[in-house]
Amino acid sequence: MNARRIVGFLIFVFLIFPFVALFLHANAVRFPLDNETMRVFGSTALQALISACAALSMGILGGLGLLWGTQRLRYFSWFEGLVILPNAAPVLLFLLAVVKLFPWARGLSGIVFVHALLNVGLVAVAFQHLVLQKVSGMAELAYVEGASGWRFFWQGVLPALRADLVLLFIFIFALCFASFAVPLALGGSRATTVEVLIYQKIRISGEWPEAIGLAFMQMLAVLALAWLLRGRGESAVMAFRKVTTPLLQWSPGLLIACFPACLLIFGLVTGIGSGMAQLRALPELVAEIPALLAGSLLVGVMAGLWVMILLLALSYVRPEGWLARFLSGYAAPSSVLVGFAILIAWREPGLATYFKIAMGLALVTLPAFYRYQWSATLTALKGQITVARTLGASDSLIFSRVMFPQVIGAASRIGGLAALWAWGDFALSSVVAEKSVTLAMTAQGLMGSYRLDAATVLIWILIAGGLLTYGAFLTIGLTIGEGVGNVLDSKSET
Amino acid sequence: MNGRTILRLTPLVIAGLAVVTAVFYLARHSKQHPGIAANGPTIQVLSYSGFIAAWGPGPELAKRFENRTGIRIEFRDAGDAGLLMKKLELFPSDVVIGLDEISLEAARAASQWRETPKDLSIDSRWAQPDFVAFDWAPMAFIYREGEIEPPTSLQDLLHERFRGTITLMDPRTSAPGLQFANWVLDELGAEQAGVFLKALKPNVHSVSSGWTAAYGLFTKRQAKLALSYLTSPVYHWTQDNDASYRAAVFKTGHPVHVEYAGVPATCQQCAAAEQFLRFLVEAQTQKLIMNKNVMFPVVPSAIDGSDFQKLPRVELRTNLKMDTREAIFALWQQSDL
Repeated sequence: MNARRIVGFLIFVFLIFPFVALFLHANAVRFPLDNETMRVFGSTALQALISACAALSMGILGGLGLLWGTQRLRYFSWFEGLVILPNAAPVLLFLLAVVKLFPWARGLSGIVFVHALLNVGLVAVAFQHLVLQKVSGMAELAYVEGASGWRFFWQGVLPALRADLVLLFIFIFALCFASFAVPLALGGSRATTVEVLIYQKIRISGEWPEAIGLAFMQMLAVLALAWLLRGRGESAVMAFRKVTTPLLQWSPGLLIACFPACLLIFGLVTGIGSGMAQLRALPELVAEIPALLAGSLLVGVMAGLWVMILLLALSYVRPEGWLARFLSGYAAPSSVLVGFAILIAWREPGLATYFKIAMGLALVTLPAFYRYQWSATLTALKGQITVARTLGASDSLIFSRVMFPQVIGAASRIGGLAALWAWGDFALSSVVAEKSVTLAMTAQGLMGSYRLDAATVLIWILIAGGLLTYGAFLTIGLTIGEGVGNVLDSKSET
Repeated sequence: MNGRTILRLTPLVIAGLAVVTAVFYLARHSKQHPGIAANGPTIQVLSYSGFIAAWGPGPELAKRFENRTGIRIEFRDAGDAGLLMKKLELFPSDVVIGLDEISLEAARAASQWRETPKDLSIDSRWAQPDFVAFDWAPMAFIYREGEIEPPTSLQDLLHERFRGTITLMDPRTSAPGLQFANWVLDELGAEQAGVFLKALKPNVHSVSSGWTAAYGLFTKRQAKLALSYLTSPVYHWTQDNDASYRAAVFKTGHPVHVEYAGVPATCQQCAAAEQFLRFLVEAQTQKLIMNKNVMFPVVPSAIDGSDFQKLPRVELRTNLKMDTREAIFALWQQSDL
């Protein structure tokens, strides 16, 4: 067995560790296969399917807007952090704005609408990078040959990116399939989702064996979808470059991409004054803020580094066959279950807590990030790898000279996204930590004790911290990428 | 090294320094302990986040107990109350705080508990052989004076003046939501409860996954009537200086939410744990818990001179038995709310 396979197997073991730990710890695992559960699976799948279609369509339009912005604004990549904010902040704040501005958003259509809004930024950013990575050269050619934007989009971009868009679809589907608060708030008693059932089994009924069984079935459902939609064709492979043609730019798309973030900011702006007053009344909490800030920073940075290192490891592995299919469809169990799986294996308190939270967040997000952009990044380099192999390069040489300099930028950017998400996490953190150790956990606690406005102030701080961390990761990618490039250039010159 | 590289490295150096500072700060912070009993006995207390948060009663309570007895309290956060028993499985503790009337049976089934002291002078309505009640509150609908005419019974909630104004919680994901569904089932019977919930639908603004979201919608004035606790208005009177918050009084009575603490039979510092239970129900401690948790004390005298005295007196449905979860969940799903 060569080193690549061993690393691939270790990543596989790391990812399935929560299920293994929970299966071994539980006295029994039950798989509820009754009609009601099947009905819930069916309705959840339908909701997630429509939501993913809507998010993908809107996100592609948003992506065209981001492509327009990339051409005109310097440091536009910072703007991406803002666009994906709705996914990083507590969903309650987003719902407050939605319920106020769109009172008609109820039932299935309301759920789909909000899921689409929540995920449109993620899709837009992913689509923008797919275009820059894979079809920008083709776009130039089409422009020179006089193709219209519309025709190039349908006959050039969509077929070329089919496999990547399918993965992006599965990514959004998995997010919506595991959605919890949105279906309940907008769908009412009939909008039972699998995640609601899991929550009910854990917190209200205390039926852990069934909760674990449901989580496993949920994972199988996403795997089955990935298997059904497995891409047969490979995307076009081009070097990363800036789009210089107006074929793939659409300025109104920028509004679509930014609209959800604006909604969130609207939800956050209201109540800042009273939030400050509420905080002033809690001097013991204000004294804790530096420690909470340090905790959030540590969790964010470590989660980002975890994801970045694992993605780089995956670029060394270059997943194929069963591992590629597994990564395309695997969905980690819900945060609470992952948190308990970590506690089953490791109960050390203190500084280890931050490390455990970061590791748990990497466990939950890594498969999602693989689907989100990493698979596309790796397939874009397949041609170069084939050439290198033909010339007799070893796996380590291919990784260090071919892959690393080209993927480090993307790995850092995705690491930055993971860090941004980690700043906003409270679900997994509250299970793993022995007390409130981050701003997000404290904000959630404040919301649960009449102090919604005070929580809003803390969320502003965590958004600022999250964006700065995201920016630091972007800079890491640029600096290392440039540094490695310079070293390689000087070596090739000598 | 050119100017551009230096420019690019500067934020990275700052970020690196920030992370290193954070690690050292947290390492130092986690070692700090303000108490006097660093070498004395320590009891492990498992509770929910709200209790041990900086704004909850936990920290002050630990300080007072340590000053008095020399026994140190180490809190462990279970997240929310629904995860207490699972956390207890992984982290054996001397005291568990935050079980409620809904979770007591499950707690007894999952673990053995020591008998509580018999000589505690607390409200006998909440007495249990193996758990000590430390606060309570009736469930009630909260409204703002001047916005709507308050309801006076469950049936009154069906009146058209409440069209689209009520915010509830889902019983499958929320303990107060479970209380409400059980209340309806108990008061109206299985058949009428289904009819009632169906008829309630036009008046429901939203059904949230938990109290936080439902009450958030209410305080943000998107709903006008929220299921919460009869004591909730006291928070707004005292902290927000807003006297308009009121609890609607139902003639037919209100279900009660009671919070309990218990000592698992597996305790290591059992005597100290029992001492802590006694401390929980002392008049001064009860005042602290009442003010921080915004709940009624179990020692009636603790309420004297407080804003809690201004709350309306309501009839309690203390004999309300929790129906089977399956019956409640089935009722809820059929309600189409």
